[in-house]
Amino acid sequence: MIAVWDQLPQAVANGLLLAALYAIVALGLTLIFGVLDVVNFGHGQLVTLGAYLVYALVSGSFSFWIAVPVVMVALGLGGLLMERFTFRPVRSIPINGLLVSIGWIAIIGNVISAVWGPDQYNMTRVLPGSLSFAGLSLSRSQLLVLGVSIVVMVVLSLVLRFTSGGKALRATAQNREAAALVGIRTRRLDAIAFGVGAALAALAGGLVANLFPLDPSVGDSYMVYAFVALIVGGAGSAAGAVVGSIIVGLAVSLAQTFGSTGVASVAPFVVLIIVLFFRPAGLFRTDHEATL
Amino acid sequence: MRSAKPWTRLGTLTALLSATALAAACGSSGSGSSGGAEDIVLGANVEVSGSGAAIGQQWQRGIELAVDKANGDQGFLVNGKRYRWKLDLKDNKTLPDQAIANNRAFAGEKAKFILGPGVSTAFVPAMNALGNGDRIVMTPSVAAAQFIGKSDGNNLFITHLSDTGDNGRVAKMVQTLESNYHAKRVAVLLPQDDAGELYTKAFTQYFTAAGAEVVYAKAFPGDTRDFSSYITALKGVNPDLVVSGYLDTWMRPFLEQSAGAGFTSPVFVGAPGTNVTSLGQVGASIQNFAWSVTTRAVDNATDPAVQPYRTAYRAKYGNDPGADGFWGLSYYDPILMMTKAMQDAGTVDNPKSISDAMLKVTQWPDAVLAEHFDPAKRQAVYTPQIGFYAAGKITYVEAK
Repeated sequence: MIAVWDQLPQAVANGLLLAALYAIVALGLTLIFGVLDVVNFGHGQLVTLGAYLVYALVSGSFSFWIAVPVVMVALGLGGLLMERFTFRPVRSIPINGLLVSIGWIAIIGNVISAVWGPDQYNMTRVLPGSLSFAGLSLSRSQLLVLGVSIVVMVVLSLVLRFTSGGKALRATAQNREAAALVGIRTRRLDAIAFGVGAALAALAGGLVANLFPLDPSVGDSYMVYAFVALIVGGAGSAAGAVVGSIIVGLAVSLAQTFGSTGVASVAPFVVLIIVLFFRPAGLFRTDHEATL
Repeated sequence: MRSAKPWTRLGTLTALLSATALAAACGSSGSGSSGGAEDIVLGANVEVSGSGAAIGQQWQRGIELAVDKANGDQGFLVNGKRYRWKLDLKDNKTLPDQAIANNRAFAGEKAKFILGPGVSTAFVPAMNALGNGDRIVMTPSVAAAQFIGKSDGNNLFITHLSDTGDNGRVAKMVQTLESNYHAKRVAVLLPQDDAGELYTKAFTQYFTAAGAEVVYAKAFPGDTRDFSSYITALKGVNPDLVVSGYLDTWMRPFLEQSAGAGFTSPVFVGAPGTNVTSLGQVGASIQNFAWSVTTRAVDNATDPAVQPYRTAYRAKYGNDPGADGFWGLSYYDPILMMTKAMQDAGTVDNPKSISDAMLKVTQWPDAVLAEHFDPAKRQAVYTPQIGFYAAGKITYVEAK
């Protein structure tokens, strides 16, 4: 029992660090869902692509600090084009948007396999080593993820609340028709939301590349857990995505530390079922409207 | 200006096509000839890329070196006739589907000698795709044991020492580790798959038999990259020795994150499949690391047994073999043994006779690993080595 209490702070810290990465992925997902009403299942592949592109640039002597923004811009522009040419034409039938997103899983996955093959790659870490305080050991690379995640949350929150573009995004997420009636150019916002979501996926990918070995499935687990976080928090809610990520991150970490492998595998989904039982729209949604 | 009449060009084209078809036919048949020696196709289904690439590329080199050695300048004599191995190496990308396709291609070419795949997930379906045991197959895959005693496995040989059993790799490794470290509290963290379960069971059994307490035994999903939660739990049980692996894919991030979490005092042990390169950038932090040298360390410049291999390796590839070079011996000696078995049997196309002769081979030219095949299990028997890393220095010892 003493060992459990000794390990608990570290397990919680691990969970929060895990949550930081899930949150960046979930924020991108929720931004796209909130505005376009489509769950982009290809988001995990964008994370993987972002990771490989950052790896490629860093291997080509680019600084990690330059590579990440460059890849964010590139995938952000790619996201704009994805929305414009593949999601927008099928917007009137939501199920088709879902199918298009599944199609992107195959397309991006095959591009990654064709270019990099199935081999595993290890990027030289920026910020190697760890920090110890209050009995906790935290790697500098993971702390970087936490810091970046907090910055992303704050910036996104400020943009959504205090800029005209952010207010327009929120208005579109809440009521698309009403937003259009007051002159908001909702189609343009669709593309922007998708582009920002893709850029966030690229950011998550870059951070993953600095943490773990890369292979073509590296983004898959982040997609799954970020999706669970999205639903737990309430799809379309930025605050919900963050809180959902923290819950899922803690569930995974605590179950892996104190439970069996089987418990760890199902813990996030048990949390999901419990939350949906009491709050069918997720923790941060009271109705069926998105609340960016 | 036209230089030839249509019928002339047609004739030239026909001749070219015929020549191409003839060449292709010679290339794809089970045998051909070159330089006075008849070719024997040696199909190699190898993990040159994909998740098994680090091992597979050494397998490829071991195969190429053995073929060069067996062929020499003139080929080798069987029953008074000269033959040469003609290597047809196909990358299976560590993917079952590709491994199946490769074996079907070999079967189509009527190849009677097939190597690999070596990774179990690729080997089993690829072996099933071959359909019958009318050819000699050699593989280091532990999963090959399930075919022994069945018609599919009539001429199957497993080129690695068994993992399990009192004389297996794990038992020998544990005995060697315990005589070196005297660990009392052991933790085992391996992947949640067949090989992981096999190793977990075997390490638990033999460490317990050696008097140690297994204080932690868990499996992680194969797609795990973030080991921080497991490391937190491991720190809580305070082990003297931690077994993990069994591939670099997991061992490297596990060691890196252990070092990052300040968890560096236990002896880290890589289950068979890892080697010292798993230390990556954290060699200065991890105090002790040991791993199973599945065959014999060919990077050991002071071992006379591996010098001929090192010389041939350097001549062909321009550099000395690294710490993962020992994988090359998974195929190197068995190919030379098979060549000797063909000479002893006096045939190149009777798999049964060659298999019977193979079981009796104990000496062959240019041997590196002193081994023979157990007639019942069709499995290689030899003494493997254990690698030890401490304070930047690597030593190899024979497993007890």
